[in-house]
Amino acid sequence: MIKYIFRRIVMLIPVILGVTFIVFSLMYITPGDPARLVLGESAPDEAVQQLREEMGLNKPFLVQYGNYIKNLVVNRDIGISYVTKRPVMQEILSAFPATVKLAGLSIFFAIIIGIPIGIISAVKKYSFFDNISMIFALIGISMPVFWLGLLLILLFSVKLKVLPASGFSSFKDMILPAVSLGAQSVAVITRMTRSSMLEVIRQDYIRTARAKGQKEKVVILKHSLGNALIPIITSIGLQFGGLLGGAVLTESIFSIPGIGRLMVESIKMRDFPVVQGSVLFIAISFSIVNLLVDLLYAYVDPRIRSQYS
Amino acid sequence: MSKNKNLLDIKNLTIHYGTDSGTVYAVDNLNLDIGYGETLGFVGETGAGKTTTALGIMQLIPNPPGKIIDGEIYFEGENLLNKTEKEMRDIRGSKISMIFQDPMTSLNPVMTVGDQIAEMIKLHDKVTNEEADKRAKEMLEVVGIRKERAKDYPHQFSGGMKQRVVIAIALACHPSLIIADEPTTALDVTIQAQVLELMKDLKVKYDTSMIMITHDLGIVAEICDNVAIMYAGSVIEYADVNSLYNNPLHPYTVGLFNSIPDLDSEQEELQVIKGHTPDPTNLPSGCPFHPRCPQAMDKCSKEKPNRIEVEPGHFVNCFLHEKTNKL
Amino acid sequence: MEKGKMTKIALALIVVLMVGMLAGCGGGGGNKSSNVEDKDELIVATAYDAKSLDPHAVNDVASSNVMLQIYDTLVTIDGDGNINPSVAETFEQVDEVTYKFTLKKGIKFHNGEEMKAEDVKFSIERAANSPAIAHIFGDIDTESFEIADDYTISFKLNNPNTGFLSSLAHTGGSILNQKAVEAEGDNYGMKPVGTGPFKFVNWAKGDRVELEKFADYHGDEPKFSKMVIRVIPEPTNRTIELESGGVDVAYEITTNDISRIEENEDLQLSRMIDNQIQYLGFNNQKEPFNDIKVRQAISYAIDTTSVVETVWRGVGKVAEGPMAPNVKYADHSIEVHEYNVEKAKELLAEAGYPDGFKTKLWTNEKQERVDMATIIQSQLKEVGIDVDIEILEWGAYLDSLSKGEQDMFIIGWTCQTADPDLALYGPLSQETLGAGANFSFFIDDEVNDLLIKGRRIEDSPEREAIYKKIQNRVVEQAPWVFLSNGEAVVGSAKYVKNLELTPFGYHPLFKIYFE
Repeated sequence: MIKYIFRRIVMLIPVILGVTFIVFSLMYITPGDPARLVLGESAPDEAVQQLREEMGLNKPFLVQYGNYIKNLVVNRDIGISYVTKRPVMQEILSAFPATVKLAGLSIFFAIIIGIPIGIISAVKKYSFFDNISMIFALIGISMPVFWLGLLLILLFSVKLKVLPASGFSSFKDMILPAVSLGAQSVAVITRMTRSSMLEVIRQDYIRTARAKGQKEKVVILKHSLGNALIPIITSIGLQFGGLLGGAVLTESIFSIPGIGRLMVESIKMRDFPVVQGSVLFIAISFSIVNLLVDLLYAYVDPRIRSQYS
Repeated sequence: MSKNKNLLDIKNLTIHYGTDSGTVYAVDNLNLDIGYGETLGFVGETGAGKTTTALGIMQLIPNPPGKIIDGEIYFEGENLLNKTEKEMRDIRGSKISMIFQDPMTSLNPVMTVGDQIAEMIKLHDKVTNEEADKRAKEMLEVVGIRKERAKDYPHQFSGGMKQRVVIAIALACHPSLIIADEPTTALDVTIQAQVLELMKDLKVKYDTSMIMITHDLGIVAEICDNVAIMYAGSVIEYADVNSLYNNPLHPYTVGLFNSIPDLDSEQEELQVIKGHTPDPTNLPSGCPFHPRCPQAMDKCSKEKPNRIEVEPGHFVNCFLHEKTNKL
Repeated sequence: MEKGKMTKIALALIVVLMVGMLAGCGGGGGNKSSNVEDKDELIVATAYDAKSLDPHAVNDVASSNVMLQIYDTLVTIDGDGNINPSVAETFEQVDEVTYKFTLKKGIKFHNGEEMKAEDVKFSIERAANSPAIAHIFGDIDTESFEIADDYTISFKLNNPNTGFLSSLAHTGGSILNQKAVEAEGDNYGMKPVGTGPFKFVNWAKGDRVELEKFADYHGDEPKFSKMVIRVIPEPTNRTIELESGGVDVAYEITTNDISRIEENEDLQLSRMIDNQIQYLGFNNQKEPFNDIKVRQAISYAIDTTSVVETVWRGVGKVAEGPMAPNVKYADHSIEVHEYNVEKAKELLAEAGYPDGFKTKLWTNEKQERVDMATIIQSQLKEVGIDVDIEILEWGAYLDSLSKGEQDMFIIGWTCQTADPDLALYGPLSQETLGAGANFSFFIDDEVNDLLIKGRRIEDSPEREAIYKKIQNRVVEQAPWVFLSNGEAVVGSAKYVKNLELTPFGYHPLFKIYFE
């Protein structure tokens, strides 16, 4: 198992190289001069040239990329922001916790709402409850997050005045953003739980469990859910990984200083090191979430566990 | 038939499934009984309603779409159909247990086999976890599996071994009736013999009654006392093994025997029963077998034949024998 | 039965959760009801986060808005454009290029150090070397600093520049503590130390900057002890927070929300035309725009008033000339150019384009600019000019403009000090063609000579005349079609008093009191 984890971590290296190279190339060919953007339209040309030189932007592409990788490997450093002049790592670390908090809370909402509803829908297939929850799931998947966010603000902040419309200091601040961001995940997880449970409920071993005289609750929660978990975990992992990539719209609507907003701002300002660093960070987080998901598979399913050892 | 004599007594059982293409008459006015310690062979083609009958006894018919329309099922003198769900749960597994057809899929893949046996024991007997584990291991040894393997998962066992585990689960609480639904169909021929042998031994050891659902008349001959032949949802012939094998009465039963290759006598070709099993949503009028019956009469398509006791203990539902009976 | 029970349990769980969510929040809901007299904290909502609090690292309105509360400059400018001493007790222009300052004694930095001439030298020198504000401070002669004693300092410019004293009031002229800067290194932008009325406490990037009253401030003591500057990018949310009492002041109220604030009796609106001008520029070196008749024709063909009123809906005003009205020496006698389609057609015919021509209009993705471009497109169609609108992303836009590939384009220019030199030199001089902000590649010797002269001559009626002449000459030469001037629209609670707006987009919040 340890060997497996180690192998997966080693696999990160090509991922990092690939991601950085792609982002680096994209940024390189994108029109727009970071030095000009930092200094603004009023800056004289000499100042811009001087800054380009300082930033190393006049060097050939491969030299720039090589320096970046060298700095990454040797100094474990991902550079200084062109715009704020702060270390990129600090920029990211000041944005990432908000994103993690938001993503974590969203996925938490999604799990505690999505899984129970999915289970009930599957158990009571085609019932009124099932139909209603599937309609809501469809709405949840198709509803644009900014629209839901604005509706929630209108209801809870403007009309009822019970929740703040912006900020992210307290748990209270996070509720609306997490709910609007999580709505889609709720829908995805509900549908996945339902279909996975339906698949499992018709299996022979569920009949076996019933023939043992087992209580229906245990049959559903232990025997069925235990076997239905793999696809549910997969979808939770994918959702969570996606949320970690930052939710630009939600972050903007609710004024949350997360990695999504940081990245968009940095792209606008051609703040290459921050864009590069953020993408790198997100790629690594996503890979780690994937790894955790795979490890979780092994935990819930002995058949997969036996493949690793 | 006195209630004391029989462990299980099914009367006029009718089970329907509602589907999009119409009502499926899966079990139609079925009568059956089984005595203490008896092994009943329950024979019929695929789709004849054998498994539905078994699930009906367990009251595990998936509802919807299935529904018990009519009938009574007396078990140890009490009608199971009047039991509450909770009372039924106490009966399942402890009094009546079931062995399913496909051992590959009837074990929960994410629980150790030991846990799956222990689960049964904990459900019905007031024991500690340790004791349940201990008894689960003993049950494994009973069915011929080393007790160390209790912590293994189903995927680590072969098909025959899995069926042994299933048998261990079924017997764990010493039920008075075991319903085995084609327990060997999914297994290799050599393994089949071993498993059958095991079941035979254990049935004697634990002194239980057994309903052996099968379409294999060979198995019936080997381990059953009595046989019920089922066709299109009802029992059409019932007798002890000897009289049925020596003197099959119903044309369908006769057809079944004729379709078995006989190794002793030279036969030019296998005699198969013409036609197909009837569409369960649209059963033929009168005797359901009449469209395929070589000896069908006008009457057969109009009236349902009644159950006739042709000789003591040998029942048949066929007009052909009504006459002889009257004579 | 079992299934029914499970449904109930799950439903109960959801209900409990929702109730919990709501109940958990019952405590808050804004401090609206609390007594105004006891109020000791000012919360301000802005649209953007500061980029850095190092005055020499950046030059953007959001950063300046925070730095203005933390730092002092040598001099300040009041609402009438007068230059007043700040940390300098007296100042004096010794000759054309030499400035001398006597500092107030006993001014303390937030870290306890006393401010001395060395700190001023360090700060001004650092400003002069900073690319971000090179257009304002780049002409200081860094070899020329002379420190007579701890409280007396003088330095020179390379070239005479009358606007320089007002430039010193820009946040780029903030006085920093040398020790603090050197101690923090790269991180100084996150740990600023000034001499201003508020000292830095904490900065949660993208969320808020927290400041605290500086007890040893040398000027008037602020009337409240805590200031929080929050970032709320969504305009609607700023208004909602203002309405619900979450913030006391909200910047950049958009057109949609103005009436909501005006109609709310607990709130008030402050407005001030800022120093920005939005214009449609021609590439004056490129056919057919090198012909003055074509440029004038297009001016006549555009109904600027309707464009601006449709797009900005009451925010800002129609621009008359190249300089925003609050900049010193703005010529208020210039009127909005005439809209006359017939004249436009005549001029086009005279220029040899009786049937018009095909051309491109560039803009970046800012919605108001795109909207203006769309209306202009349809108005120019009236005179036969077929316009293709191309929307470029800001970075790419600036790049292409510098290279001179444009036909027509829409952009803005903001005068960051009160002096007309900064309003006109960048976008119109020959020194700044292309990359230096003269994106219209306007080359006019008369204007250029006057710009250079205006820069050197000291404030006087003569200087005023020079700048008025420039403005009129530019109007006549029509290198741009003047579109609109921006406006600072700030909402605040009624109890917020003495909210002074500046035309620079950042405001002295430390002067506010509650009543």
